[in-house]
Amino acid sequence: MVKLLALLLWFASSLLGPYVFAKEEATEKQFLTNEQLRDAEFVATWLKTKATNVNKKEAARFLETAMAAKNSSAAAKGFLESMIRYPSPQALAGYAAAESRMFGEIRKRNKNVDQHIISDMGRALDYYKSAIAANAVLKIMPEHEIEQVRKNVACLTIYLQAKTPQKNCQPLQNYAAMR
Amino acid sequence: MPDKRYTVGGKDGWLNIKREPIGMVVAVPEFIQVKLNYTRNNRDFFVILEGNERGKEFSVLSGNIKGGDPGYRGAANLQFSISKKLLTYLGEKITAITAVDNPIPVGVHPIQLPDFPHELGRTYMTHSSFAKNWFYLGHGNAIPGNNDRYLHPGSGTLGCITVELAAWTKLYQYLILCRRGDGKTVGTVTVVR
Repeated sequence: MVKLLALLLWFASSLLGPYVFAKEEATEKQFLTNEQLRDAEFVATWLKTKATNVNKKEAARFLETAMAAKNSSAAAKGFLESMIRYPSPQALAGYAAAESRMFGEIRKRNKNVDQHIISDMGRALDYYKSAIAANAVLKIMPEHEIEQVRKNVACLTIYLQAKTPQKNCQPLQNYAAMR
Repeated sequence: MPDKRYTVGGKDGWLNIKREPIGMVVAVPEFIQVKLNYTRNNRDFFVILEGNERGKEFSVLSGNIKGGDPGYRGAANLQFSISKKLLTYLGEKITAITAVDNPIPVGVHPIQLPDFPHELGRTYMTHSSFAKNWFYLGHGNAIPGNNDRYLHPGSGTLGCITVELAAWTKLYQYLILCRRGDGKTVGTVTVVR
């Protein structure tokens, strides 16, 4: 009897096991992670192959909220919620800008700008690169906007290599404006 | 003997009231304690006793503030593990996250009463009617962009304690009735690695 019960339990668990695993995976993979969004190649591939069943409507609503936000942290939260659902170039570039401003404020308050500026600008560079990659797939960003993103990538790349301030570098100006 | 009452919120847990004598409309959370001064022309005039608008006079249509005890509890004591991504309260464990690049500091943080309706939560109203009701984790008032770490529902995080959507309503309904007795906070959250 005990053996039969054990067999039944094993059978039940073998049926239930994959279901539970699949459910957890689905929950885990529901949204993109920051790490994935900082990977331009991943973003482009995802948009080409997996963007069919996502909630674009919800992403668009968050994008709208972000654009109307009155401060950098509210804007960053909105862009973040949008891009984890659907990494549009607008959400990615908007997040890069808003996050830079937000961290500029935080580092100023904590008096540790010099300690963080390289990593903060490094993250911004990754998101701007992802925005370019996303736009290469979707082609939805107006030319003057994507041109500005390209300029941001160029000046941040030089800044991170040379570690010297770049004139007319918008992300650096945004970050410094908060200092 | 002061006539103590509490605010009755709408479906979203907020009540719009009119600042006196200016007349500006302000949203306050449900279950905020007030002191009724007088009633005139079907409007109750009262002073708020807790939260962001504490000490200020407002008015509202009669019927929107009630007497009695809605079921206030003692202070809430939450625990949040950054590495385990778990928020614990009353023995319940729910999923919560903070940002890797800007995590909420380890230590004890006060949990304030909700300050104002947070517009970002509107998109989550289909998951929880109380998605706009965020609890500020700090002293003083939240300074947007500079010190605004909240306990709130969401999917992505920038350094707040962001709680899974499915668990928000229950947590909110618990917290909104907790009181630490300082007229400002509902309890504390202890953050560990």
